[in-house]
Amino acid sequence: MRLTLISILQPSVCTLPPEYCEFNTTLKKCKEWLQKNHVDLYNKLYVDTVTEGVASVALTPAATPKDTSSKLEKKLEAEAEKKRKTKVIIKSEKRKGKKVVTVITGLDVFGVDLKKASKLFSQKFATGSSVGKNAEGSQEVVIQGDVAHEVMDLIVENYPTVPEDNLQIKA
Amino acid sequence: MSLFKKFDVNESVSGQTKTKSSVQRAIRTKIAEQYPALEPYLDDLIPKKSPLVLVKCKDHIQLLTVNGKILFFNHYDGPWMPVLRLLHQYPFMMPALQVDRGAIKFILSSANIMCPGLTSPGAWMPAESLPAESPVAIFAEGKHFPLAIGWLKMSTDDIRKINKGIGVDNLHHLNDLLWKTEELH
Repeated sequence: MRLTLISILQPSVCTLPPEYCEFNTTLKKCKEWLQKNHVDLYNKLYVDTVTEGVASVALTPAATPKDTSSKLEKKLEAEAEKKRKTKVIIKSEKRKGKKVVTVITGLDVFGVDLKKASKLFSQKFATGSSVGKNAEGSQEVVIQGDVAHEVMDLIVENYPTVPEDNLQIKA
Repeated sequence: MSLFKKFDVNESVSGQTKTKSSVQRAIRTKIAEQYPALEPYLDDLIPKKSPLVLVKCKDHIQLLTVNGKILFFNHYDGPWMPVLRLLHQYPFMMPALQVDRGAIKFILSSANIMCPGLTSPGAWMPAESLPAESPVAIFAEGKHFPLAIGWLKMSTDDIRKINKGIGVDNLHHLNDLLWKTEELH
């Protein structure tokens, strides 16, 4: 006989089992999420504890969400700021003789899977494409052949997370 | 200290290999031996047909994945230990210890588990003695799910007796970077 598995909630906010949210910095958001999606569990975790008084201790960590949540906000803001500032730069570089490659940097900031992207490019343009690191240590996609303008359209089409204004072609 | 305080899929992974069926069988029997309670479910976890991938990482860490899902990890070819997501599904698979409430916070920031956290009123240890160097699941007072996987530094008897210093080495805990890496391709 098989034992039935315990079903496991996967909160979208912090991925921890909800009972551990109180130890996380995202407590406030987690609470909101839980209240919206799993009211019964929310009541069990955050409401009943007060009335029973058994584990009113459970709520003490909640006394400090002020500074932690502002920290989190700052972090999120910094991330958004970074996204605003980074430019996805598409550049054509000369290789030996008349050979040219197209180099794309900055895609990883927008949560694009570079390996998949490079595969997509090589399929679309029927050329080789690879993921590598440049001198500054950031990751880049190198496509064989001069496809700068085509690749820009392709990025706009396939990766909506990358704002069009941040795309830039450098000669 | 957690093995996965620093772990980045792009940097830490040095190679992935599909295991030969003989190696796969060896790993399987080893896991079955270690976790007899898990044996009935092993066929679900590691279907015979789908390839078992051995992922080698930095610092002598190895991961076992099936279809991109990480199932087990080990260190220096030591025993295989389940990933927390797996342990949450089969919490009965390995011996359990429980720490008191106060310890949770520290464990989640990847501290090792100190003896007093295992002997205080909120904590719990199995009556029978567990020898040092066995993998254990760490549960917490008032919580349902295990929050860490560790490696006994001393036997549970010694933990009771000495009650000082590191009792369990914290290898993998909730919200560390292995937890955050849900899938590997």
